[in-house]
Amino acid sequence: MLAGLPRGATKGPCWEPEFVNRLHQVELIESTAVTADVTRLVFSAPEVAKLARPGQFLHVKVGGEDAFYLRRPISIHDVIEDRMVLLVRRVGYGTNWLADRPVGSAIDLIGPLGTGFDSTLAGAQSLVVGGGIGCGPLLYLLRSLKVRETPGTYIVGGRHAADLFSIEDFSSVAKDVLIATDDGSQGHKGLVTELLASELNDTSRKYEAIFACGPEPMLKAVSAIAAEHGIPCEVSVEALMACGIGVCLSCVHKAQVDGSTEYVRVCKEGPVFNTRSLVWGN
Amino acid sequence: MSVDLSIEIAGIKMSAPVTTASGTFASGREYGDFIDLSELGAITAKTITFEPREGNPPPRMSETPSGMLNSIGLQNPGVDEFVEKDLPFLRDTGVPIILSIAGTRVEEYAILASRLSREEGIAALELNISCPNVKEGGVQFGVSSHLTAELVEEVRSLTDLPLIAKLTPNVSSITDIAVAAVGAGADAISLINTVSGMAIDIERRIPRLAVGSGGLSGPAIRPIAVKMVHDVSKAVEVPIIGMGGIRTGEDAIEFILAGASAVAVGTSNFSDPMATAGVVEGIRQYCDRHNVSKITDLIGDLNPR
Ligand SMILES: Cc1cc2nc3c(=O)[nH]c(=O)nc-3n(C[C@H](O)[C@H](O)[C@H](O)COP(=O)(O)OP(=O)(O)OC[C@H]3O[C@@H](n4cnc5c(N)ncnc54)[C@H](O)[C@@H]3O)c2cc1C
Ligand SMILES: Cc1cc2nc3c(=O)[nH]c(=O)nc-3n(C[C@H](O)[C@H](O)[C@H](O)COP(=O)(O)O)c2cc1C
Ligand code: FES
Repeated sequence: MLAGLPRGATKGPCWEPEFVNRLHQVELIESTAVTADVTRLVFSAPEVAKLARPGQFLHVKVGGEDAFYLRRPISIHDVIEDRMVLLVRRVGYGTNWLADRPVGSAIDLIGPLGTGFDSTLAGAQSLVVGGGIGCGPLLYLLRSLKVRETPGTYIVGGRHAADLFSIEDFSSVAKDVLIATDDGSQGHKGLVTELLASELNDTSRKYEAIFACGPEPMLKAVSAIAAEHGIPCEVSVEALMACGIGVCLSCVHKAQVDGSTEYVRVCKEGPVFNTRSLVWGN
Repeated sequence: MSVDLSIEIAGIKMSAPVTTASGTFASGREYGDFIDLSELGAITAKTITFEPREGNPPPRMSETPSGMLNSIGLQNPGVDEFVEKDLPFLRDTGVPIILSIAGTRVEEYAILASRLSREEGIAALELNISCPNVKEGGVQFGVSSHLTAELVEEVRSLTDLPLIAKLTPNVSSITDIAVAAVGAGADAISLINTVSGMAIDIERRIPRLAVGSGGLSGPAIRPIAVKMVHDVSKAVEVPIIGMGGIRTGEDAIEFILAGASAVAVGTSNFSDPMATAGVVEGIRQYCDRHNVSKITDLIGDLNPR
């Protein structure tokens, strides 16, 4: 059960055992709308930047001192020196509140939290698959793959061209960028998973790992394709969170642990899981 | 002037009248990264059952105005793993440890109480009686005076540890349940557990929680909790641990004035991981401001209107 779980089978080599959760006050130094509903927020956050690994998230306080709101989990989109970048998609009160903060605001957050992607899985060739706001954590992953001199191929999907964002940023760190849109307004017309399958069917390339983040149906499809090709695959899943630090058991996902199926915490054992251990559906 | 915040509840010596609400603090490890656990009056751990419990399917949580609904379903590793992995940590904190137990039949509470009575370093047992009783067709123990009394009496006969009965607010008369629990031997009462509630996703026309409904907690339930603490304190002689939406020292003082001897902080931990320490400090500041030298002077010290 919970207490007996290995502390993250997917953990990268840079895991720090003495890591302590900390509260941080960080200053918003830049805010730009990148699409109609996605805002890019840059914070001066030296301590978080030092600790952050690709795939981890921050648990961000929203709504002023008087209001009572739960924190909102937001992935680390990028780390540039002592700055940390988040991408926020406006879906409700909390994300709107964050996206509307004026430059100079202090934001209270906990983190970095959760397991990250294991970039050592990547080998020489890897595929990094993103859908919707799920592209968030993949920029920092691609950057770290590039730093390791094993740049990944980025495959991204969206409804139409106007939903895609930060493509230049991704191009600067990926080996190649492949795009799919539902309406064919840019790149392949169809699903991102179709691009993924055709890329894997091209036997001239030998992909050694797949990393993905996006809506659950997409992750499920990616995971099935990876299994079919026998390629290790890590995905970052979403869950509704309260505490964000492993206390409340709100955020669970079904997974295989030591041969049995149980609920593990997305905020602690995840949000990145090897698809070998994930069980889809309730 | 330095205020004396210490209080003794059913033999539990607390350095401050603040503990944690079961299930919102796990066994304290995580929040120990944010606060000094030794400043708490006691730590109340997450409810354990005899066998491991898988818990309910997700989604298990939905935020609501000034609060949240949860349907965790008592996911826990079972008593043996808890005793092996968590109890040593809890003991090492040096503060009194309150263990919350639950079961689906009286015998399960009984076996847990006997098992835990053999362990060192437990200050008290809290009986989470908001659990469905399989023998009575899933009716919660805590909604019936006679089931509550039967349960408390059985556990009482098996352990010398102080017993705290934790009451559910989802009843027509919480004072009747409190009186029954005390009559059967409860040394203290804690209240309130979560308020039964439901939220619906109107776009998809489905309940937000996978199991349909859940328990409401957080500031939204505070006035309900304050009233119940007030009413129960008039009906029983034993000390009361009050909880429900406490975020600050002022909130805690409200419960103490209503008749609680101590308070527990729950959902607020999730938004503010230093909430428990903040409540202790806030109580201290209130006492300084109002020239209160002993926190015990404030218990139930409500002026008539
Ligand atoms: C590990 C993790 C990383 C995330 N990273 C990002 C990110 O980088 N950028 C980003 O914009 N969003 C991210 N999210 C989603 C983000 O947390 C939610 O969109 C946010 O909490 C919604 O808050 P709100 O107050 O705006 O919306 P609410 O008013 O609370 O809800 C609006 C809608 O969003 C859904 N929702 C609420 N909370 C979540 C949640 N935690 N996850 C998914 N859907 C939710 C609700 O069901 C509802 O349909 C991430 C979530 C997780 C779990
Ligand atoms: C996520 C969550 C889990 C809980 N788990 C338990 C539990 O295991 N046992 C229990 O007695 N109460 C449990 N509770 C109820 C709390 O201990 C407390 O009685 C209630 O939440 C009211 O206090 P609050 O508003 O400060 O949270 C839980 C509450 C929440 C929010
Ligand atoms: S959000 Fe509380 S355990 Fe994950």
